[in-house]
Amino acid sequence: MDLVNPWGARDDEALLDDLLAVTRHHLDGCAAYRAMWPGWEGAETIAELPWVHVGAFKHLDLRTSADGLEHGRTLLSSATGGTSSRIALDARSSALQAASTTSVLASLVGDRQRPLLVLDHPSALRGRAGVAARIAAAMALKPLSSDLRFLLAEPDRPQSVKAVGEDDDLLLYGFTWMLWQAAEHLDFGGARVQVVHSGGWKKLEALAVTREELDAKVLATAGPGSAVWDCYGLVEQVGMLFPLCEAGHRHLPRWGAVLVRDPWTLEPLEPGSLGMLQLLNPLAWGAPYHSVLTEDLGRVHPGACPCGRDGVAFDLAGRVPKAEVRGCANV
Amino acid sequence: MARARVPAAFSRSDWAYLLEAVRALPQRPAGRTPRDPVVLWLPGNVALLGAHAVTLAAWTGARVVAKLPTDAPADLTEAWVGWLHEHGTLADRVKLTRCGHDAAAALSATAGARIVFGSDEAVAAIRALPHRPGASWAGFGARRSEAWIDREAAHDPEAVRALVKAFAVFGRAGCTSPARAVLVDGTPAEADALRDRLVAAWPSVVLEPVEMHRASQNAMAEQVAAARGFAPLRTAGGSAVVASGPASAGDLPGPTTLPVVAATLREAAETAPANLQTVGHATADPAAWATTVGTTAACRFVSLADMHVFGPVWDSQDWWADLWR
Repeated sequence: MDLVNPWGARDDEALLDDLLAVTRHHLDGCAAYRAMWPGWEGAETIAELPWVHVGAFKHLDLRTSADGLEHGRTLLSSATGGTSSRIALDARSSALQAASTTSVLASLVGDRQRPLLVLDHPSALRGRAGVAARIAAAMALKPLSSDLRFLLAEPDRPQSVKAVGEDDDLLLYGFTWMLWQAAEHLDFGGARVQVVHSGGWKKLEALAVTREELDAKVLATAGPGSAVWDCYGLVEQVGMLFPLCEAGHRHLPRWGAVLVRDPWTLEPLEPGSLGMLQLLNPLAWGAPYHSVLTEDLGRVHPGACPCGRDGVAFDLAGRVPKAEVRGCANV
Repeated sequence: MARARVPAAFSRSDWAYLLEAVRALPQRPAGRTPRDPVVLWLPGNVALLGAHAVTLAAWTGARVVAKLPTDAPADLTEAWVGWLHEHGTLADRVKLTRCGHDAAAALSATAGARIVFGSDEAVAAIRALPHRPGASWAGFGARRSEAWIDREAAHDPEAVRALVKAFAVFGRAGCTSPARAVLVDGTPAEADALRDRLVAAWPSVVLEPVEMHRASQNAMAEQVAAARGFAPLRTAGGSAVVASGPASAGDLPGPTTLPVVAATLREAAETAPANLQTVGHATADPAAWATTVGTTAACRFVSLADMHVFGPVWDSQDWWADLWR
């Protein structure tokens, strides 16, 4: 699979063929997935492909069985709703996913190797039962790094940032919320820094912190040529990153697809309409997370993006508003 | 009480329920004095229950302090008490609070009667708070309910609508809400057909569109139900999921997911949860089921229409009578 030049010309026909192949693979090898889509026989458009609701991964341990496919570790989402999504990883998919993220990240930060600073603690690597999404996202930058350094002296305490060192060209990854908390303690000493963050804006929106404020605070001590890259991604689409461009839109690597569905009817909507984002990619072979209906609201951006990147762009518009389900037993 | 048009905070059915609750207030026992004050810890979002409980407590003549959940939105209890204040009835003795733990402990220590609706853990924690010797106590913890319907009723449009109505009020959130519908002595094919009738009846009973989040959760619930061996159908507009399946199958997620299972009466009893509270029935001869229902934990065996009707006796506790010395 060709996973270079993420913003190059798209071949949607070839992508549909790839997605059909991976869909049939999962229908053959995952009984639970087959039970979700019992009557499905084929698709002529991406909108006709089956999907799995993102919430299902919190309730089901979905795995696909096939010759030569062996599952390894399980990727866990951060349990903001109380329960984590569980994504069964396998070697083939992990290799494809790593190539995908490296390709996207290299297009943003450049492909020369330099020290990678991770806004986390080494203990984050030691999870045995699963791999936390947070550390998995950081490790996506490892192929672009010359060495790896964890910046936190204490786990889960962004304020415990250690000195960044003397290098004048750096990569840094952090969860968005942790980056905000650590920003005032970071001293880059004028070094050129490419900062990549992900994890969502919910907490910062609650504090009315804007993107401009975060970027300015993070880069306050950084030198010319530094940049902050806001990457949207989710555990259930591991390997896919959707960076925010200079024009304020999210970009889709050419080996991915996106569409928007009406939350009530689940019918696909036209570009420009607001609905639940469905994200697709042909990288996931160990479990049917190749086509996921998310609870992120958004719109597919019609037409070309002013940033000049080819391909599909979309905009995020928050999450499906959650109403807490309570009952007699909740005091 | 003077007739009044329905206040904005209430649906017509909510208002009708509360007016009926006032009409049906029990007779005060002669020669007895109320325990004072009555302190209630009200449930999460089952607001009619809170409003009704506060009304019954205030009817004794005692002062009433009702603690609302601290992080719950404004609910019908506040609107109801506000209306009662406005009409000079009962509510001059009723105070609503959203106090924290320390203040709640102080309330417990001074209460003449304590009544708690909550999780089993919360009920135990509040019971353990300092309290006056001799203060009465009623704790209502986590319970579940079911609807049991016979094969004839399953073909009765009114019974099907009654089941939809009983479930739609609270979905799976209320202790009195059917978390499962059992088609007694039915076959799996008949359970499938009942599922189809429930889904078809839903739009005529539930007129309001569902919130986006619930529609999304129902899309998830439909898929999980299918993966777990049920045959689910989502209602139009994603308001609910009705899933037919085996009685032995486990629980299903989703705020408005109703499993429909075919089972003998004995199987229904044997697979009922240990914290069963109410069996709502749709059958021509409820007495024929009563003995079997008595082998479960259920303490209420009522028609589908009465599943959510709260009262002075609840979960087998004569809690209102205990408000009197």
